[in-house]
Amino acid sequence: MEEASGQRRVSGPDLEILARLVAKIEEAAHELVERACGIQAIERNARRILASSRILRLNVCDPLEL
Amino acid sequence: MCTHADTMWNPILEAMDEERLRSLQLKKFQRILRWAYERSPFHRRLYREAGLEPDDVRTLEDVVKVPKVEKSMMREIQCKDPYPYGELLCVDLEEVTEFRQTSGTTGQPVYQADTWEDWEWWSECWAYILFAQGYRKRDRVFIPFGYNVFVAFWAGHYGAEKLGCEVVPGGVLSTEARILKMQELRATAMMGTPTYMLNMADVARTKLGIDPPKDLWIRRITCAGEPGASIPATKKRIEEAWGAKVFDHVGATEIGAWGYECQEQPGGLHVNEAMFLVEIEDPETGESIHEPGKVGKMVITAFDRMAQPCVRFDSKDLIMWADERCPCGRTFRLIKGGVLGRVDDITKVKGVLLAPTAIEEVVRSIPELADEYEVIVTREGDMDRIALKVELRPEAQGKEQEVRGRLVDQLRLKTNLGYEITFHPYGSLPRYEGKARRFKDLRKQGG
Repeated sequence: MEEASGQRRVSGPDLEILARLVAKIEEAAHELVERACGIQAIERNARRILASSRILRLNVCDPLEL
Repeated sequence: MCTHADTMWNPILEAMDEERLRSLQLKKFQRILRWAYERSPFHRRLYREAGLEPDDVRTLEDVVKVPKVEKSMMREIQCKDPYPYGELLCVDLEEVTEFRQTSGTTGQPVYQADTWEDWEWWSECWAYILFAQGYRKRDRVFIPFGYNVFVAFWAGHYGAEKLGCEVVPGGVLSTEARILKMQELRATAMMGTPTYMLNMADVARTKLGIDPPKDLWIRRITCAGEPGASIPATKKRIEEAWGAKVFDHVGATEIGAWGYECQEQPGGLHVNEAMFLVEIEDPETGESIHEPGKVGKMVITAFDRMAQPCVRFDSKDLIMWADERCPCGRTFRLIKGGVLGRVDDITKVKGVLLAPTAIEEVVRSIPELADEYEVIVTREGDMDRIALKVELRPEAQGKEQEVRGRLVDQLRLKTNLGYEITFHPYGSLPRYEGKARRFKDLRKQGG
């Protein structure tokens, strides 16, 4: 267990790094949607990536940001 | 390896210290409240009529200012535009990818819209449950469930898939065919209602000559839909019938999968407090209950469900906080004994408050009795009558008098009521695949 801000935390990954990686995934997926030129095979699959990355956001980013 | 990574799906949240967890809950509550207020005309009207704006919730104590949503309110506004969800919907209709509905046990079913994001969230909630109960990639999970408009084990299917389990959908098959398929594939785990788990084991033994603990490979069962897996006598019966560990979980169509038993099985269920805010209130006074051991009605919020949010939903489930922490290391609080019943189910018979689960606990604790039973409450003149129908197991035939005596004593002790008990031939009472309806109060029908 490590001490951070005076509180006990589970030892584990660096949340800030993880959150940055999640943001990169989201950025790339958004860009795929924008550049899809209406091709559903790109747009819908990119949107599915965003639905999954939202769960990463709930699991990793929310505890950091909120 | 992160601490608890071998036993928790996400130790970042499940082992978060309590202060941070409460802070997270407040922020997430504020976020979903604002979302519902801005996107749903139903929620906005509800809050404005109460004189509440989202910014009025500044602390967790402020949450009680937010009006509760009852199922009857949802029914009233559904089937209007945007059809069929009405003004509950917070996204464009074309964003909805999943339709489910409630069973309609308490009246007109409620329709539930989910987006793909919501559906990912559903399976994530189940991933927390299944990982906590020991499911791993090596498991072959059989799901003997009629995949249909009811959410039931749909999300369990995708939660197991997310864990990396091999999932076998046991949909439109007879009970016998399901058992044979489980045997053929050497399935290691399954999900079902407690009633159906008992029924399946009975069919295996009596119709197929299969003894589940010896002839099958099921070692882990996750139950839902009924309180049975948290009723010790019923849990024991299922465990003995299958030679498997039985775990409870709780959820609902309009809420999500909000609670689960972990492998420590401390006599209660963890609330997934990173995804849900559970409040307990006194059913009569409406006062919040914070202290352990006091039963009240659950009011629940799902923080991350977006298409059709669940904000302070009056679930009518009766629960109580446990006194103790779980040795598993989760900081998510426990509700003792799972869901103890429903406000709607608690009824007065002969002037005595009766919870149907108390009858189940007695019947299932007597080994000579078969799994099924039926309770019928009627009124003759001003007098309530309560009848209990039971079956003796085949191997206990001839023991009726002895069993009757024990049954009468235990029922009197646990429920403070006298029953008209009748014994019926083994196999003659109804068998159920889904939620059983064993308690029939015919007084409201003039019976």
